[in-house]
Amino acid sequence: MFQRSRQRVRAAAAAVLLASCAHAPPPPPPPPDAPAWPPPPEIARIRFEGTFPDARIAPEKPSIWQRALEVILGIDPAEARREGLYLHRPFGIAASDRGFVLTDPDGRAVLKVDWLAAKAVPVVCADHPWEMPMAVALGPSGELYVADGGAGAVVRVEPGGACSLIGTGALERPTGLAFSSGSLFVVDPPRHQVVAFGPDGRERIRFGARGDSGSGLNFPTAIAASTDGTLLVVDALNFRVARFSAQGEFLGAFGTAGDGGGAFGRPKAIAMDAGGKAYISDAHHDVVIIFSPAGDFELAVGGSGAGAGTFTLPAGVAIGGDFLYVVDSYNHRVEVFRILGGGKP
Amino acid sequence: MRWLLASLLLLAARMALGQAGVMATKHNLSASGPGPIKSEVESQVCVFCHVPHGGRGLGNNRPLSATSYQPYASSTLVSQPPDRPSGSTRICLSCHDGTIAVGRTLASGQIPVQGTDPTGRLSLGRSNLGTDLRKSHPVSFVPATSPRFRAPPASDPVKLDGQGRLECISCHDPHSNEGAPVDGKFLVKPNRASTLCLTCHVEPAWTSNPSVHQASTATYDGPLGATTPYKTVADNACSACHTSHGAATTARLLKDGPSKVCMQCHSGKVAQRDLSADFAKPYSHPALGHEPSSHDAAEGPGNELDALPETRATARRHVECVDCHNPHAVYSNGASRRRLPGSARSRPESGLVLEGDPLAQGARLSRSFAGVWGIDRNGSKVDQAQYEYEVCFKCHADSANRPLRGPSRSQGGLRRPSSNLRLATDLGAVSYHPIQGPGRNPGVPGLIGLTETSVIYCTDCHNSDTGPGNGGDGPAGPHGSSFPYLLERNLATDDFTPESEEAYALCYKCHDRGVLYSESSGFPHLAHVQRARTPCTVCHDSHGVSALEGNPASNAHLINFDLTIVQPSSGGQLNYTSMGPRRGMCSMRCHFVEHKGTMY
Repeated sequence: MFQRSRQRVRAAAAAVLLASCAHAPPPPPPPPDAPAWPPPPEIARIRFEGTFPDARIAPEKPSIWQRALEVILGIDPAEARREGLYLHRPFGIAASDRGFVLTDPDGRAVLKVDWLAAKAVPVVCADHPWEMPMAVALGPSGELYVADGGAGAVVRVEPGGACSLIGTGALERPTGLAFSSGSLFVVDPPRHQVVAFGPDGRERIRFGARGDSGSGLNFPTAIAASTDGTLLVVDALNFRVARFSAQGEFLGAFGTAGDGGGAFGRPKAIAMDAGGKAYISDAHHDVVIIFSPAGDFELAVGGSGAGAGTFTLPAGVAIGGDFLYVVDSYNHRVEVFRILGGGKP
Repeated sequence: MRWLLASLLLLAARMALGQAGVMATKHNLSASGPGPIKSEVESQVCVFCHVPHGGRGLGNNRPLSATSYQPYASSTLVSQPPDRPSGSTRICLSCHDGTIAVGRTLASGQIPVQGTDPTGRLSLGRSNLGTDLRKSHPVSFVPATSPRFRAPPASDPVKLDGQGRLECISCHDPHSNEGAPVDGKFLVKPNRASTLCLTCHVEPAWTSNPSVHQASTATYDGPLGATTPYKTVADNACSACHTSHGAATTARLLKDGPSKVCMQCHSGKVAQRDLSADFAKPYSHPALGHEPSSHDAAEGPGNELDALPETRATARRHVECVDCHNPHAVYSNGASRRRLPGSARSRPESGLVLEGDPLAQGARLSRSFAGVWGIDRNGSKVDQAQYEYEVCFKCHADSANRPLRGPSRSQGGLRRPSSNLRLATDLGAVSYHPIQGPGRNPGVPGLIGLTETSVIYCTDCHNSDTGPGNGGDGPAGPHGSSFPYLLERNLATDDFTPESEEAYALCYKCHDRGVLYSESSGFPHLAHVQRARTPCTVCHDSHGVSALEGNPASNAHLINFDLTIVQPSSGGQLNYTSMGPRRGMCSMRCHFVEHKGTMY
């Protein structure tokens, strides 16, 4: 009996040790009644998966030991109490291997988020404090490109942390980024232009001029690249998405102003999935509108609100694997959806 | 057909407005931009915000109901905190987010980026004071009326929306820039002297005292920090310190921290005197450079989260300009500031009570404390302090976090616990400097310009060494001093200090040096202070000895020995016993001299 209790003690000790080494739990599975689009009884194409920040980064309640330590060391408990991560007004997003990279222009922060492990690491440049980081894109070798609208430049952050500026003086207020054919394409809404930079940081081409039809742009706010090199530009105040080739040739457009059936109210950002479908967030209607590769309206996801699967002024969109990330800017969070069917046509 | 109807309706609406309208403003976002109107594209100008009905009728874009949300919060907000942005405000925010138009402009205040701990987990530091402090005027809520807030009058250009909510359009008309030709920014009415803010915000002392800021014609324009086109302090009014959009991280929509914002002008730039020089001195009320502090406008004795006087020994101590001064109420009644050095006491504005002076009955209180609350002699809160010491007692009396030991000996400090100054100077204390009322000793020899029934101020001793009280022309007040303890004049506390006019200049301000070292002082001060080189503070307490800490026999005459210098006698005795006027008995050991029942 003595031996068995010793074994039990050992087992208990091992369990305690293992528990203390455990990583953060994986994301909780979506609730069984998670919203899906189209709503039942239709076959679901998009299903709500979770949010960030979520309960895994909730404030911790202090343990007895922590409280005792505070008493002994004279630490003010109100000062020591830790609170959760707060996103002031998140805006831009890009998918990364284990989650996404998020920009918060009002919080002046850029965060690398591992959504699966609930870790968020701020991206900090020693000599360039963020002014208004609006958009972010990941480069082919793991470097980050952040469009800093307040600084009028794109900041390139190497994996080791070194930062350099691209396009100083050539951009007025960059708010969107996309990689295509080896170049970085940046949209500049006040100038109604798209500017392309090569890997050396030098400007390659620049296209776009203010206009209300054809190849004219009226405050383009975001850009995405499809797998064949075509660029899709969110032409916000023309209420459409315009297609350009990587050389700047206008290829057509789709979209119209309106309040239903896939019409735009305030298109904000765009992402493309593996099958070529375009996902565009609309801040007026609080939805993400999905179009086929040909530009036909397919589905609108979301709605106004602050609960699961609803938005208040959605901003950036990004797609990583099966996940669709939507920045819900005025609800201070990112919502994660799962693309059922893998996003293939 | 529908398009034609819509454009006709819009044309009719525009003609009804009868103004040049949105065509000529920045909100004409059509590709043609502001300029000559083309009638066939008229509806194109409206569509950017007034999205037309349309689309193929497929899909479901209808908004769902709202649920709970993290609201704007402030410790002094009376109304129900605002919900998510609603109604017309959403339309504004959908462009004013940094893409099509610049969003809330970021102010000079820095928001620290959260750091991580070594494991890479986001370190969960304190969020913005624990509340969702947005840096813009709150919108999308129904404001509650209170003595400090009124609903705009019916005929006023400032309006609440159809549901009684305050939205962007309460102050801005996105269609027209003609409501405020000088201010611009689509304001509905000019904001000169902050008439726009004062439509709803009630600040009675601002006009009734009136505040010096309300009346000041000093130049304050763009290069000095003004965010309006106006060029004087009075015309800028609220906007001199507050900003509706892009405020700093501190509360109440201030442009910067609650003390830094004062330094825009009170550092020798707009106001007459330079306070930053005083704050830079080695001993000061450290209002600058310690932000964010734990100051909160709602702090007070009854507030559990922000108790003042503090109730926890571990709470942070703080000081900001606004702890002692209320910029909305502060005023001057024109009294002279000149005082002569070393002479009769500085008693600001005493006896100079002008007609209509709001503080007429509190002649003991400088007008710079108007509108400031205090802790009275009984430890209770008074909404308007009546005496100068009541302002000081907020932090230097009952606070649980007063430093328990003075600075080390090497810094010229004393080894006496920092006592509760309210109890130490109470009229029931054993012995005290007459701050709360006349002293209890009927025979104090050698007073300069005072009598035994005089009452003095904290600022008679604690003041700037370059202020008028010491013959300088710097600002008056305990902002900073080169002397320890923020003293106006030198007071040496080290043993074996050679006596001189300079060594104890603070005491000699009121206690005549000649009388002190003569027979008439009633105690052999000459032998002790001059020959034995013992400083005043070895035997005397500066403030008082409360009834809890001492007794009349041992602590008369402010006797409270500095125990690092005064040692017990060889018989283990260390005491003083008063035996009547000018008579007493001492037992201790100082400077290797024994006193065993030595009498004088």
